[in-house]
Amino acid sequence: MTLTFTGGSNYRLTNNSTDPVSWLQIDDSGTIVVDTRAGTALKGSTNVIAALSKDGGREFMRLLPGDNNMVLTGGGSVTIDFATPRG
Amino acid sequence: MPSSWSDQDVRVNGTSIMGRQFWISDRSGLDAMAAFRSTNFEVAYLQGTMWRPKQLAEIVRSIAITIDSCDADGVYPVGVLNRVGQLNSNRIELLALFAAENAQIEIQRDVLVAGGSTETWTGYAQAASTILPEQPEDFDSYQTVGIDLLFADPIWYGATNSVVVS
Repeated sequence: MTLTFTGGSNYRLTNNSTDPVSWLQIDDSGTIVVDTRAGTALKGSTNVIAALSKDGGREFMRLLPGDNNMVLTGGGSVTIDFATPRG
Repeated sequence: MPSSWSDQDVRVNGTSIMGRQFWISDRSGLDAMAAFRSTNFEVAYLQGTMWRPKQLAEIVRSIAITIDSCDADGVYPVGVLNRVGQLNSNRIELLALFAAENAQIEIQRDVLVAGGSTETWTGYAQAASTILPEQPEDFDSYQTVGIDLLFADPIWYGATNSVVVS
């Protein structure tokens, strides 16, 4: 899964559908790309992994099947690119 | 290669392993599903066992591959020595696909589904044990090899979707 944060600062993306609630916080601003499989967080070509904190699971972000109640604070938007589990 | 599999390709880092020079002769292992690692029950007479959320364990998926002595176009070299050489080259090419250094290998499979459409599923794996080609005695034209692939994430993933949260 790839999370692309743009247009804000001190982002916190929360998924209220998971139990426990899971969130990913980025204490930085601008466009930041988080690749959950690679375990990377890049601002351009700069590694900003130290700006990340999270809770609710081992993963950077968890998605459940179906609709997820997700909230972004810090302004801007986040584009979530994810692959559908098939088997 | 069985004709019924011809439109259900399997690729290792983008290279098909369903060709004429080698192909998967038994891929049923690719359909294996991981077991649940944990339990929702506190087992009787096993005091101290904590409840833990269920999660999927890693899985080893096994496939069998046949290596032939023809080239990628299905042409067999003339003469025994040339066929042996082609067979060895095919084996080297195949085994190299599973020898990626410091990285998991990407396994992609095309899966026919009801209605006739094809989905591409992706998983990431590494060789889990020794890969030992077997060759029948006094038979120079093919080898068989079993490959165990360890998938740390046991899920096959399909097409990518995109959503925006603001």
